[in-house]
Amino acid sequence: MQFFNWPVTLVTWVLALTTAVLLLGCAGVAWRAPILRQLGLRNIGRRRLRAVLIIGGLMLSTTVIGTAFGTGDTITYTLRSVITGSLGSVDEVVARSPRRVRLGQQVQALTEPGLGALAIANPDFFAQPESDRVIQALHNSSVIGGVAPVIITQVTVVHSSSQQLQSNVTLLAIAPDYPLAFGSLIGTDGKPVDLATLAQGQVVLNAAASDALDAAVGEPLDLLHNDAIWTVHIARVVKNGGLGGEEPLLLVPLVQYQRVSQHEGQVNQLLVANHGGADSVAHSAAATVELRKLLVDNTAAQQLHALLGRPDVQRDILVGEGIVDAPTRLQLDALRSAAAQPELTDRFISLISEPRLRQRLFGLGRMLPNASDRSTTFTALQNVATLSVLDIKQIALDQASEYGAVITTIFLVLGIFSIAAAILLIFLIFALLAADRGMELATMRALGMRRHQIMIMFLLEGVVYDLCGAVLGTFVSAGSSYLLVRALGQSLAPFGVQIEPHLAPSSLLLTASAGMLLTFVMMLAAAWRVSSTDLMAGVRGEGGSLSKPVLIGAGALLLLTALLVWSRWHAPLDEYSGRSALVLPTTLALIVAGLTCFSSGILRGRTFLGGRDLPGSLATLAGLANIIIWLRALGQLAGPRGGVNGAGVTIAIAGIILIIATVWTGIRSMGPVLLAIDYALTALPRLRAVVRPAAGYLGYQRWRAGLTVIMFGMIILTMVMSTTLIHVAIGTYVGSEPPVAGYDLRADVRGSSLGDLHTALGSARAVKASDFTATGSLATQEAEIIQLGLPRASWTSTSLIIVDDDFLTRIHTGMQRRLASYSSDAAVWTAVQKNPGTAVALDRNSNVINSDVPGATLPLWARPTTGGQPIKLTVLGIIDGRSELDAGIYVSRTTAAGLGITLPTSSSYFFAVQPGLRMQDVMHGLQLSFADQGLAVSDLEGTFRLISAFRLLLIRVIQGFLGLGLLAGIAALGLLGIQAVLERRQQLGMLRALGFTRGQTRATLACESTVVAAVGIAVGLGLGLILARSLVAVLSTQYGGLRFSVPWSEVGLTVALPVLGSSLSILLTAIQAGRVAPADALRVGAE
Amino acid sequence: MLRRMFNRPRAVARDGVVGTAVEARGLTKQYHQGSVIVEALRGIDLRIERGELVAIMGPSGCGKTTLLNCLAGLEGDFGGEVLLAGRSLRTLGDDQRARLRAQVTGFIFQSFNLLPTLNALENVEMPLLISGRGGAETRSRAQQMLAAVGMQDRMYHKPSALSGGQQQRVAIARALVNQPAIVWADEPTGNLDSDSAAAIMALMRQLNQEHGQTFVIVTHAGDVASNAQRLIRMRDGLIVTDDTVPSELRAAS
Repeated sequence: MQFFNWPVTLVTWVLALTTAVLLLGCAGVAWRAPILRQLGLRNIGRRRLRAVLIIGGLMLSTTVIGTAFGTGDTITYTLRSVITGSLGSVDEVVARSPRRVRLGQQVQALTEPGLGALAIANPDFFAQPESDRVIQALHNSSVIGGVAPVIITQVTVVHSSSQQLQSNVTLLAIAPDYPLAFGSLIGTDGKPVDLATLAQGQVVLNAAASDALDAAVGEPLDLLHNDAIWTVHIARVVKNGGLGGEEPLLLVPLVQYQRVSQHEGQVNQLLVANHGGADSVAHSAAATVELRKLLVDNTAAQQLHALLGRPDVQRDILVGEGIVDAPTRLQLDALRSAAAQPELTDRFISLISEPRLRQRLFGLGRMLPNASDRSTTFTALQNVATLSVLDIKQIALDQASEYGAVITTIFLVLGIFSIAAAILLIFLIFALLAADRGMELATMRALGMRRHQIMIMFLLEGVVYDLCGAVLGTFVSAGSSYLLVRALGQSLAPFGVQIEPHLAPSSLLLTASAGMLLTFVMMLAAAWRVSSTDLMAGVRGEGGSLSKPVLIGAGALLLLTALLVWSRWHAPLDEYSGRSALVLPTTLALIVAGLTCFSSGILRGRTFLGGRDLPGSLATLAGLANIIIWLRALGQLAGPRGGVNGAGVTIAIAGIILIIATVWTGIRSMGPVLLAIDYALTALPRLRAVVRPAAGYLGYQRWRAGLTVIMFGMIILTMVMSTTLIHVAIGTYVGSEPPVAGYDLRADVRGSSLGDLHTALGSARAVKASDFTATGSLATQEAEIIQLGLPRASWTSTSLIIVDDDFLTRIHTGMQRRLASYSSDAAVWTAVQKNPGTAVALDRNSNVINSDVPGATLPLWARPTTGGQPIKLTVLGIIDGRSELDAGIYVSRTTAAGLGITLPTSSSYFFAVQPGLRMQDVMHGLQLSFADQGLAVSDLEGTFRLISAFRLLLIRVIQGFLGLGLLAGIAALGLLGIQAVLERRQQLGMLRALGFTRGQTRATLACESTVVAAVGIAVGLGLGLILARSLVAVLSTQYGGLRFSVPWSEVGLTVALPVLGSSLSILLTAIQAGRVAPADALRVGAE
Repeated sequence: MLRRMFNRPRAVARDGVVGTAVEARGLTKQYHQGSVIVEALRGIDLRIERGELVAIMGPSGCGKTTLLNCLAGLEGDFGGEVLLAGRSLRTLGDDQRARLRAQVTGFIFQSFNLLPTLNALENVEMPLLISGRGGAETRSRAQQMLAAVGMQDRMYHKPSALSGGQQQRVAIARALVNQPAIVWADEPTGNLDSDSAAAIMALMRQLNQEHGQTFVIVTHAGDVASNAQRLIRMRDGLIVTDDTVPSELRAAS
């Protein structure tokens, strides 16, 4: 698994070793300096409440990191379990793609059933002797344990006794003497099962199939396949797993099924199991190379080798590399190198036989200028591997790891702000710790203690907090991951996905190490700051400031870093991409920071305009400059030079810097603002008396308050951003309307058509025509279209969806766009019905129809791929992309008649169910009535409701995760408040002596905390919406249809939580302040 | 409650009884330290008239600061009776005592107790604001008080930028800005050098003699006490002696 392009294992070990070294170092120092150790550690026991607060705060950052990894681990583990369960002992599959599928779509056809599916979508049959040759050649293979020729198909199974029907059950026909590498079949009674003992008409079920059909040994089943019904009896039920897989499966002796299906001497796949047992997938790469070498057509391979080795072809392929993804680019690069070799190598053979690369080469082959070369390429590609080898388990596991990494990355990116807030909390904690000890540490300095000794003392105390916080945080994160995964599991269970929590020990180690290191770095910064405080300033209780040489040196360093960054990364990333979006704003920000530090040192003490501090004003301007730099960077992400790559990280970093810059600018400008507020309250003296100390304290401790605002702001920003993005994404792709407005059920036939639906319903045994208020049907015709008038018009593959009048009458799914001459979407559907030559289109990724031509009527020509006449179509509207309808061009049967071919029979049907009928009963009735045709029925509304529920739960789950960071913000607010009360106890006593009531005392503390929380929430809310808008703008350049909108009610709820949390924190602080007894407080000050 | 707290100044009688600033009858105060009960005050009877400059002396732990706290209304849990500006402190709740303090008392402490986040002018304005006096008058009054104590050139300085003597002058200005019936000073020269201490005491004496300002000073420094007209000595929670200081002695100090 990769973690921001670095292997997670490497990152884990580096962090763990670094942590171990640091801990050992601290232990060594503690042993060598017992007095410093004693001075440092004694404070832990003396201030227990403070220690608990510190450890709690430190625990939070570790918890955020650990939860992200825990969630990602679980997703990865679950997916891998699903895959290995489904595939069992099968590592590779050899198959021939269906002839009717276009060559360029072989891979898609071969992997259509989806992740981890054993069955490949209807591959063609081939002669068994072909497989015998392969089996013979691999007899002594060191990596391949066994090859089994099989027939795998999907059947509909009806168990009449229980009235159960399963429409997509995998049937595996395999020879009883299959290789041992595939494992044995064990019955649910614990006894082994031998397929050779099965009599004619007997089958074996796995436990999953038995449960789904509610069928037991000895009971009959009707298998419906290819218009035939085959009645069988259940001989045995075997346990899931191994060859049995985890999905419902029927096992039949190969010869028996060959006879029944009239495919004697033929198979449609070879299953391959590697050596290595549970780790067999480790041999996948070697096994795949070995298999492809056996299956390659050497003549075609030689042709391709000769062609691809030519310099002019190599140049053309290189150009083509610019339009493919990075992994394919790497493969093409390897292919070019292999093709440049004088001899045909195994590497070349393996690459050229790889189905996905072949698919890409078809596309690249179209770019060859010479027609003869194109023809040779296509023919050779078609013939080079008539049997394709797919390392199906490795592909699926890679995808699982990718999904898991995506989930981890999503949570980590979302969590970046939470982690940043937690880091700031750590810094704040140690800064408060230092402030609390300011006098004590300054006195120690006065007594002769050196700076490095102060640092050591501080660090030794901090390491104890660090260790406790990291260990606790690791355990708490395991718990929070568990809760998060449980919640996710609940949302995904209706979709049939079972998630069980799983946390890898390496993730725990990574979590603990990362938490410790982050804390240690912050501690080091705080310790350095404490130790470098000017002695007399410390005695007076003031904070220190950086010296002139340090400022000048820091400024020079920052400017040099800016130069290095620009010189290293200003060039485009590679031949295909532009410069990283981060480079320019980072360079500018470094320049601004460098100039600010430099000028602060050089101009120290200088004033202008009647005494205003010049370096301070420049520092304020630096904050403004950063706001402009990063807002501009966000705006450019969606521009012509921007792009999706790296946008997420850029937005995350921009968000962090924008918050810091906004608060920085605010802090530095707050003096005049506070004065203005004080002046505005002239007519309200008692209120002014309450506000003035609060404003004074905020101005006095502006950095501490600023840190808290930043932390709070970051959390709010992430929560607002994620809520808005989920709303936009789900709203764009799901919407609030039913997926196919007008219908409740969709049914697709796997076998023969139902024919005329009304007639079919009239003779159905389990449903009646009166059960439905409306029906509709559609048929699919493969076609090509060309849109004339575009700069590069070319024929493009698509599907013509031929719908009947019933469908056009009932459907009222909305249009994304329609011609201005039509007043409503319904009018468009009516026009398609009544006006031949008109159509509507559904084109989700804008791959086929160019609908951006303003005001155009989108005329295009369509022709069937199987021959016939081209027809001109006028597209009246683009169907809403959130619809569940299939992508394609929708025309009426009258329009389609102009193609001049025999129109295909309907393959999909839509039903609107009578109110009052149970949807499940109607679905079941349809399936039973048309089991012969293998009708698969889905509940459109049910899916929609599930997705809507999933959306809400997803929001809550992500908010729950982000809520961890919110705890950091609330904790910071609480800490700030408590510290304010503790260190100002004497001042509060004085205010009480002057006449402050308890209420006024509470009010002044509450005022301080409220301002901090309110500003944090406002900054987070504003920037969250800005960042969400930027991300949507970037994503919409690739995923058309995304439209930014703010879900104000959900954002309001999102903000309400931190408001409530902060209010509680403020209340507790205020109550504590109100309890200050003046005499006691003043007595403490006098002692 | 908010309007009452912030906008409408509660009228509190400044002088409930003509001539008497504060009176204590049978005043007792106990502290509980674990299972031990400490009797800090064991029956104090005392009356301080308007215009007096009174010093309370005694060894450490004799109860003089506790006596000050009880008389000033900073402590509410005591036995006996205290009348401050004619108001019985026993009948007042915590907030009522606070409001009374705002109207009739001023405080000067050994550690100055200025609010470090506010400048000198803002510190002096605070009692006026707390007692509900706002507007332009607040600022001008505060400026006058600072000028009266010789701090007109340091109005906008924060306490950290002032010397000890300067901070104590600001504290005096703050204590007097509301024209309180009585100013309580707890070791006002404890953190000052001898010259600054002498200057502060001279200022207090001047304010007492020229403006009739009532001062009650808790001290264990003899030279500070010699500035007072009346010297009360305490021991073990009781008043031992209560003598008038001859004017010749005061003139000599």
